[in-house]
Amino acid sequence: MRKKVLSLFMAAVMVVGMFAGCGAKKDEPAANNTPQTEVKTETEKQDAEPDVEPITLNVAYMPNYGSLWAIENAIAQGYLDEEKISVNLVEFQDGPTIIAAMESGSIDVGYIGQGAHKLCINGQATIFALSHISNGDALIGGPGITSVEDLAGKKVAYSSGSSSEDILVKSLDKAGMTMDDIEAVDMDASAIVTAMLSNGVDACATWSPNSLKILEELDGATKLTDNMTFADQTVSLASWIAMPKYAEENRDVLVRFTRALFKAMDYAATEHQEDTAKLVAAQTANDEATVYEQRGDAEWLTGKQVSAGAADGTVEGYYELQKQAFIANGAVEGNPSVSDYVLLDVMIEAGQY
Amino acid sequence: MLIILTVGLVIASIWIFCEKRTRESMFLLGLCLSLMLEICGVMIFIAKKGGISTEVMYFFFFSNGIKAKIQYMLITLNQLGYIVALGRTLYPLFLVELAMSYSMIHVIRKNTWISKLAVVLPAITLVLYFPKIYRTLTLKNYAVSGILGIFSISWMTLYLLFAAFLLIHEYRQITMRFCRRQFSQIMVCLMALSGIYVLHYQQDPGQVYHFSNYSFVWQNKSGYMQIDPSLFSYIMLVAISVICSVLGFYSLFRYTQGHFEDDKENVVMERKFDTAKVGASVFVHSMKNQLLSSKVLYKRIGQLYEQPNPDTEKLKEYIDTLENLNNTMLTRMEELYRCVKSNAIYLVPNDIEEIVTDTLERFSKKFPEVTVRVEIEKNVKVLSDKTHLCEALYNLLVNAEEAIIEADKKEAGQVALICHNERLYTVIEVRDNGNGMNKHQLKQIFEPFYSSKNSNSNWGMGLYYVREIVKSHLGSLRVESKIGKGSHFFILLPKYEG
Repeated sequence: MRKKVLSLFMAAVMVVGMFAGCGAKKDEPAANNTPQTEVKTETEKQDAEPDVEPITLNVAYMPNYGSLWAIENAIAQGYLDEEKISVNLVEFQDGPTIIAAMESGSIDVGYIGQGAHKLCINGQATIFALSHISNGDALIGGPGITSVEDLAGKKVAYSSGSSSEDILVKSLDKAGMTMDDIEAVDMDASAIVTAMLSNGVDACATWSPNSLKILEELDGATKLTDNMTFADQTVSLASWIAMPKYAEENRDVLVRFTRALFKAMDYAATEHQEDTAKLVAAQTANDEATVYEQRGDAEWLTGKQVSAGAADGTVEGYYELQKQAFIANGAVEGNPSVSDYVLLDVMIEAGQY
Repeated sequence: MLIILTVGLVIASIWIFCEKRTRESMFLLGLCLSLMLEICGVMIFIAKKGGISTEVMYFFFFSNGIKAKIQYMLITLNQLGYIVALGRTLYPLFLVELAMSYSMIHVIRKNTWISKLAVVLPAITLVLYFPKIYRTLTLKNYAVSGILGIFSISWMTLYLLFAAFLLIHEYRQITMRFCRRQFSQIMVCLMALSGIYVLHYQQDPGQVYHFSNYSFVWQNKSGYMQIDPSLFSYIMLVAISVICSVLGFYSLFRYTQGHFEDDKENVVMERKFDTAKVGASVFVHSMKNQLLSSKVLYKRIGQLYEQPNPDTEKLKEYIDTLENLNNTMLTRMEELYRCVKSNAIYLVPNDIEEIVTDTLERFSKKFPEVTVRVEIEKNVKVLSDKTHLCEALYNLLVNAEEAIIEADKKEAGQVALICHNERLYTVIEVRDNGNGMNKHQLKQIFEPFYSSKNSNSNWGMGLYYVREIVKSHLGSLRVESKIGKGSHFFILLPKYEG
């Protein structure tokens, strides 16, 4: 009898557990709440709208400088506090995974690199802020591989759906080759590093800081291409995204969040990069020197530049160029208008501070 | 935490298989291995993809170092995805096979092709989910991934439900308490393992090697990453998994141990039989005492005849005593001989009613005033040696009645003889509502020359004999007893389906 009761209890607990495991709880206290700094001046305090509701956002990031440079400063310099926003930072390894997590409602906003933008074009997420123009992706050849043409018949590691796949396809295309000409091995971003350093593959396509680590630690490694290689054809972007439904229902939250980001970008785009590296190193449990090296991974834009660009059509032009490149290499089908998946008006409004 | 859990699963399942190499333990091993594959695959995937908070990361992997080692493990997404697919696909198969092997439903036992047929859907799924084939099928047609997802989840759910039905049905069919207890342990174990399995079975492994193009995941919110990343949720998930696993393996351990102890009991009994030498010494010593008593009587008779007028009444008394002594010695001799002689057992189909009738006839000669409550299932035959089985049954009935007499139950005392078919057995049950036995007595009652009764006519060979006869019928003898409530003896004979 006791065992029967125990069995029933276990069954009940399991069912409850499954529901508890699968349900999103946005109102829960922060599990990974990053401490907020005090608002610095009385003037800034007065700037904040008095009737704004405090909110906690679950923010997805990737463990690199490009993903964290703005958000870490937005926290550290108190810009998010000004907007009465607190954040739980959750680490992911790639953009598609972030979008998958957003689908469940467990993540509110997230950062993506170039590759995952095709999912936005396909309507799976909405871009509300441009972060920077990236140069962190690279196609790297192992010992004996010095050109893209050398990759014919070779084992090349990449992460499907991400910037890694994007730069690999573009590089092959430029050399008159396709994915069928190589032995493509789909791996996660971390396994690519191990595979390269152990000579498990002949070449790889990945992003910073993994690309920097491979180039530094693997003797005979050669950077075959990076984002700048294709500067004349396309542009590699990094953006902040939300689910279309979330963006529609919480436009004011996105404006507040973007405004904090833009202020942080103003703060760190050309100055304070050493301080930013310290913040990023602390968050990613990396050494400061390695993180500081990543400051060369992109063209860091200020918030004001992005907002002005959104107003004068420059930002729309970037996304249009990016979309056309995806269409050209068959990564996306259809040709939706940029304004369908990029909230330029949010960027414009957020830049008015 | 789940890493330790999976290591525990592997060790326990291998141990169980080594202890008992039966069809069932093989399925259990398969079950545990497939569960381990699924959990390990998902854990590696989570370590690599992220999406968990720092607290959850520590909870899962204990340290950043361990997590980093798993994260940087060199494995392709194809390999990782197929590991998950293997575990996810094989678990329902092993569960259904195990449930079918326990099931006594006639259609399932008779038609072995059902068991073979169960392999077909998992085999098809494993072929379709082979990374190269899967990618080829879904490359240009994303709808195919949805069809495959629905196909696999549908049959897996059906398998799980079918297995649950078979197990519950079987549990409800069992009437013997000790069988029920044993089966409930198996059920708890399987339920615990299935509880862990169910946490991830709805998520399609196709997403691992086809993540960004996996429309089925997007549409159905069934991604491995689509779990709330709060610490509470993960603590709940892991705690439940750990509790279920510990409980499950405890049950498995108990189940295996049950069989193991059964075997060990035989070994012990063989040793006990070796100690029959000691018993034989006791026997010889007792016989010697009896003969010495006879010698004294003979001497007295001789003295009686030396008298001028022998007392005939006294003489008659001595002769009667001698006769009693002689009869007692003969009975004991016969009892011992019956136990040790290598008499062949001739097993032929006998109607259980005939066996019961003959046994009761003999029993009524010894206890004419006692009425035995009889319940017999109709048309049941057993493969048996009628004489020996009747003798064994008679012994049990005599023991039962003696237990009632000892408890001084008078009219309230009741002996029952119940025969019915149960699972693979024909069960003959002898019940009494006497004093019952304690655990110490239960351990000893089947030993030769053991008797709890302080009587000159009892030599402690009865239950040992019953047990030997039942064993020679390829059956087993079980006993359940409670102090103050009485005892139930079960003779389990293989069911005859001639």
